[in-house]
Parts: sequence; C-alpha cells; structure tokens
Amino acid sequence: MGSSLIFFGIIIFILFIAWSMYARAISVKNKASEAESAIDVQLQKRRDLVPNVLKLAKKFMEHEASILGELTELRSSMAGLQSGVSAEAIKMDGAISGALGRFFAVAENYPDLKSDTTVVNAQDTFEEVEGHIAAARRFYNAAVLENNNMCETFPMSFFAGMVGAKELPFFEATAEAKKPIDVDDYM
Amino acid sequence: MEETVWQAKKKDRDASDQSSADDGLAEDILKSNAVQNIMQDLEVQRLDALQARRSALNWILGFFAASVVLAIVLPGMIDLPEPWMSLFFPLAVAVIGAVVYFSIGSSYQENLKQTLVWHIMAEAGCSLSDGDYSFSAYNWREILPGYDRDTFGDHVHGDYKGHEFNFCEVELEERRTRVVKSGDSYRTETYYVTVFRGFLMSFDYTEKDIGADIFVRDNNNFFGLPIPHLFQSGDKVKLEDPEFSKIFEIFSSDQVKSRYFFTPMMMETFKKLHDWYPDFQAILRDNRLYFAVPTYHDYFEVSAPVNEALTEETVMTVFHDLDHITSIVKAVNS
Repeated sequence: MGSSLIFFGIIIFILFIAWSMYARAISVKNKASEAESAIDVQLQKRRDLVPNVLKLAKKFMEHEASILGELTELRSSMAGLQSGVSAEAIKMDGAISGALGRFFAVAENYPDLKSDTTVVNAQDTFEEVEGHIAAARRFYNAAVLENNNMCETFPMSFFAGMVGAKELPFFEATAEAKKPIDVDDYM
Repeated sequence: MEETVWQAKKKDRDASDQSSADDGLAEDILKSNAVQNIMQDLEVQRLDALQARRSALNWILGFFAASVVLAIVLPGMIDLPEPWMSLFFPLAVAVIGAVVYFSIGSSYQENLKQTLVWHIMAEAGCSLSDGDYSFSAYNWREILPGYDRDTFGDHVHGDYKGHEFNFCEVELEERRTRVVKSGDSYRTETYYVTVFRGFLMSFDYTEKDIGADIFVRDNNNFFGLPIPHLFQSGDKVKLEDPEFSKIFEIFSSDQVKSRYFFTPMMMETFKKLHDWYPDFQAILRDNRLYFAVPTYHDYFEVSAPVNEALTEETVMTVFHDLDHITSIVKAVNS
C-alpha cells in the first residue's frame, strides 16, 4: 500500500512537471508572437505619420521636389502593404524611416516650417516612435532568444515541437542601415 | 519678493551643469550678509553656552565633592542596611550632573538647524521642514517592507532645473511581540524592530512619456541562488546588460515601454546610482520616479559641538547633502 502510494505520488509529480513544461513552451511561443506584433504596432504608427508629413511638405516645401516626390511615392506604395514583418514591409519601413528623417533634416532650412506647431509635434512623435520601435525590436530579440533556447534545449525542445514552436530569426539591421553615415549626404 | 543674489545666480547655474558645492556659488551664499549675521549670532550663543557649561561644571564638581564626603561619613552617622549604599549619592550627583552639563548647548544646536540650515536651503530654492511629510504609502508600497510605525525626519521640497522633487528621511518599524517571564508568570511584551531606515525621494521624469509602471527591485540572492520577489506586480523584463541584471530585477506592465525607458544609457545611469546608493529600489509610475534608499547617513545635520567654533567648511556639508540628493534627479533626467 505504501509503495503504491509513493509510486502514484511520483507519477503525479512527473505529470505536473511535464504539464509545467508544456505550459511554459506555450508561454514562450506566445511571447515571441507578441513581440513580433509589438514591432508591427510601432511600425504602423510610423507609417501613419507619412500622410501628415506629406501635407506639411506640400504646404511649405514647394521647391523640394525630391522630398515631395519620395513622400508621395511612399504614400502610394503603402496602400497595398500587408501588416507583418515580411521582406517587403521591412524594405518599405526602411524607406519610410529614411524619408521622414530627411524631411525633418531639410525642414531645418525653413524657419516657418521649423517653428510650425504641427511640425514640432510631428517631429516629437517621429522621435518617440523611433524610440518605441527600437524598444520593440529589443523585446523581439529577447523573446526570440528565449524561444530559440527552448527549441534547441532538451527536454523543452520536445514540448516546443508539441506546441508548434519553431526557431525564429533575430531582428537584424538592413545592409543599408549598417553602412557608416556620410555627413555630406545631409549637408 | 525681490530676488536674492543667490536666486539670480541659481538661474545661471541651472543653465549650466555645475553643482552648487563646486562652482563657488555656495561660497557666495556663505559669505552673504544674512548668513554671516546668523553665524555671528550663533557664535554668541555658542560662547554663552560654553560659559554656562564651565559655570555648571564648577557647581557639579562642588556637589560631587560634597557627595563623596557625605558617602564617607554617612555610614558612621546612621545605620545603613549595606555600607555601599552611601555610594548612591555621588553616583546620583554624577549622573544628574552629566545630564545637566550636556543639555547646556542643545538649544544652540537646535537653533543652528532652524536658522542657519533653514536659511541656506531657502536661498537654494528649497524648503526644509521636520517630520511633516505627507507620505502616501501607496506610491512606495511595492518597494518598502511592511511596517507598523513610521518616523519622519527632515523633509526637503525643491526643484532642480525645473524638476520638482520631494526628499524625506524616514524610519519604518515593525511591531513584534515576545513572551517574557516575569516572576512566576509570563507576559507578552511588544517591541519594535527597524525594517527600513533611509530616505524616500520622488521627482518628475520628463525626458519621455513612458505611460507604464516599472518596478526596479534589488536582485537579492542567497549564496548565489536568486530570491524571487513574490507577489510583485508586472512581468519580469529581461534586459541585455548582464551586469545590470545581476544588480536589479525589473518588472513592468509593458515590455516595450520598459525597454523604451531602460535604454543602454539609462541602465548605465542606474548602475552608477547603485554605486552611490547600494540596495536602492525604485518605481516609475505616471512619469514620476519614487526612490527608496536605505542609508544611515543623517542628511542636513551640521556637526556643531559647543566647544568648537562653527566654520564655513562645516556648513558646506549642507551643500554636499543637497548635491547628493539632486544628483539622482540630474542623473536620471540628463
């Protein structure tokens, strides 16, 4: 009687451990999904800036054809963009970040534009959004690290397979972003 | 009210990055007429107290000598249960004499704080009061231990470069009971144990709009094994800096916003703060930071024995203490 109770207790304990690992695997997998979604939310905020900035550019910067053209083209391209971190979205978001950054740099040459409340708010929002995007990417990489460790380490890898968790790529800067900045581009 | 020279120069100082103790402006205020007059008045009080002590000492020694004589002759005059009981008289005179002697001069030391230190703090744009801090335990509840009794010390309210701050010394005690034997019976005795002694500080964080609660807890461990913070609200945030993670545990309701606040530079700032104030804990809530710093240092106390003249170097400790506390505001908001 005593030995069967002990045996039963051990079985219960092992099942409890197994259930804990299964629940942990689900939690880690969902966290990675949440992190990916968090980046997407911030990127969407940045995309939403483009129409407002385009209006400001049209109002004040009639002679800056290149900036106007770039922003107009971006706005058109964004119409058919799917949400998520697809290669096309990543490329588009890089272009948006570059165009907005150049707009605010050029705006320094226009005193009326620089002091306009809407522009100031837009610039503050842009900087805040860029900060949030960086934070979201750090969260994503932390979640991916945990997910990949789970997928590669026994016994959690067994449960990772059960819940459908797979190794995910870390966020990496694009080749263009890795290039050193040339100040002449902004002078 | 007309702006003082210090307040005018404070505006210039705020525009620069210098501390009040290092840039000579502290010397300006120490050399101002108001402060010099206060120090002269205090010096007169000190000399009076010194004279009173000398006079009291003469009386005390006289009484002590008389009590010694009494202790010697008393056993021969009356029957005492025990001969050594005659020693009660010189002992009593010694104790009472010591109390009287050291109490002379206490009013000088109280006046020193209430006049000189208070005036210096007012010139620096801060208000100094004692024990009247309206403490909202809610804001610190997650980083302070449970307590039954609180005692507040100096409270400073001021601003540093537009960041309003509150600072207050506090001692928190927990009530405990124990059973002690009293004769043939037992009784329950209540006593208090200090669970936190240090200062609390709160100030605005205006660099970014965070919009989430972030809890900075010390990363305790027991012989290398981590001690988890049970019942801590928020999810644990794992940050990239391994040294930072060894010192602190971060919890937050929002993983992205906590990383928005804890940039690599901010992590370095908190590590630096940990070097200055080990074991501190903090909460960021509604864009206001709440720090709980355990320390035994007594802030804004000028060491002023009656038998030593008060010097400007001694009074400079007030500025050093003020710089200590504003350095936290400066470090986080830079």
